[in-house]
Amino acid sequence: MTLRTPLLTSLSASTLLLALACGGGEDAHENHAAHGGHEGHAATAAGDQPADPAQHAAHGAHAHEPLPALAGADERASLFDLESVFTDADGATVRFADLRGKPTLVAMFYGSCTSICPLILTDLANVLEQANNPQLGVAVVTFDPERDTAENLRALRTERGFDPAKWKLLRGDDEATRDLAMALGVQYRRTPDGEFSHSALIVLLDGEGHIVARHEGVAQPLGELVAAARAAGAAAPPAAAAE
Amino acid sequence: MSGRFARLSAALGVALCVVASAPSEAQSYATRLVRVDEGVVFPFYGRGSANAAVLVPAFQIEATPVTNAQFLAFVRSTPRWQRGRVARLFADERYLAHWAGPETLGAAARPNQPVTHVSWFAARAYCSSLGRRLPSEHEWELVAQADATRRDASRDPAFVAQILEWYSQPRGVLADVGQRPANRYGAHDMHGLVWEWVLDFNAVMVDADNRQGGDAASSQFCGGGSVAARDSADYAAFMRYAFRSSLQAAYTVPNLGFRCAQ
Repeated sequence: MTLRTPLLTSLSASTLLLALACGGGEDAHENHAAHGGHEGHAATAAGDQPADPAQHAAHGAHAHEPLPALAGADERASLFDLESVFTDADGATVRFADLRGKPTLVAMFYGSCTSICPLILTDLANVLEQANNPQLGVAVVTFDPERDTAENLRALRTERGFDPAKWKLLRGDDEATRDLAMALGVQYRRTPDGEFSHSALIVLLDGEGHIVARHEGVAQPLGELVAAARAAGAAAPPAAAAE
Repeated sequence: MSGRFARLSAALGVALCVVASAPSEAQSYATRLVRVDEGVVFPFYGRGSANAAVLVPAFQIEATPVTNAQFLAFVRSTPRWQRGRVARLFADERYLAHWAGPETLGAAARPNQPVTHVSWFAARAYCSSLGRRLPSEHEWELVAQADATRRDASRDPAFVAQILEWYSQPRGVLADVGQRPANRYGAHDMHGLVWEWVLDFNAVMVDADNRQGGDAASSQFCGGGSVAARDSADYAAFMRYAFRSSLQAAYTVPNLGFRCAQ
């Protein structure tokens, strides 16, 4: 279920062991496991057994100390903590926290992409339609704010028949774009020809910005995502629901 | 543009650049920058010789990884990056786990050891507080391919073997920064102490040719597996690309630190 699975499974077992040993062995595994999704993959299998007993001992001094309780902190990551500012196709300023109170499908794409981006947008449109959840919205953010101007995003919205009340087509500066990709776990790189290589990911946020479903790849069955999107409610505490 | 910048930097000197751009209150914990001339790297995502070389403009990078003491100074002046206060989106639950407290290093974190258990978001925030940034992957690799005398020692089997030997060694207690000899640029500890965050660690290991086809995952897979023959000698660099691609920006791990660039 993670973006790294294909790479990790492509590496030899010895490479994995070595990489984990260098990267922190058991502790690294603990961290990754806490994020979920690595179950059953080669990385976890290697991480279950520290690559080197000496290394295990070296880490033992502090690896398992309980941490103090985090007073008042939300234990779950919320995309609404992102401070990045985006603008929508109509030129309005948007922060992810503005989406509070309603479930939202989020993905990254770019307008001139001819390979997987159109498929991501089609998947989003299909989920939106099939979920039939009146609260559900979509926010898509471009990798390519240079070419995906507000005007071009409006044109794309019209061409695809996206309802402006449901769809936010967003662009940010390079830092905002990178921050969102980092927060979502999307990999991307601008290639020398000005295009973007990137992974395909759709997430479903609840009304508090928590990621409640992840859908990776394209041309994959959408059933689970549709079900999650159908079930998603506002679920926002009264204090946070005001808009 | 980069050539002019390089000449200008050379004329003014490194020290002046530091003074000119770092906020005054933050200079107390800023590491000295060393200058890196424009150079070329051959990253692993590029297949074939035609597009494999990447030109890296001149820049500056900190001479050593950021230490516990420096990071402590940062979180004291920026409480929202303290353990227990940082938003979970920006750092996982092991953030600064080896420190005795949110503002206390304690016995398991000596002041001059490289800070570890820090997320990408936290590393970036630290660099921003100094008017600096994380180095790009290409920048970091450019510095890392130098030995004491050569700008690019990455084709030297002895140099690569030395790095791989470090990668294969179990980590004991981390040494203090700056204890190993500097490389040609004056940068210490590029190898042999900790892994380091880079700005774009999430860049996919794939080039434009691999974007064809409908499945992004298989594209990444293909990119990761199709290391150019030219690069096979530098297996150590491949290890670094593979390690980076296993990270998430909120992860905090024991042997992963960072240094800033400008």
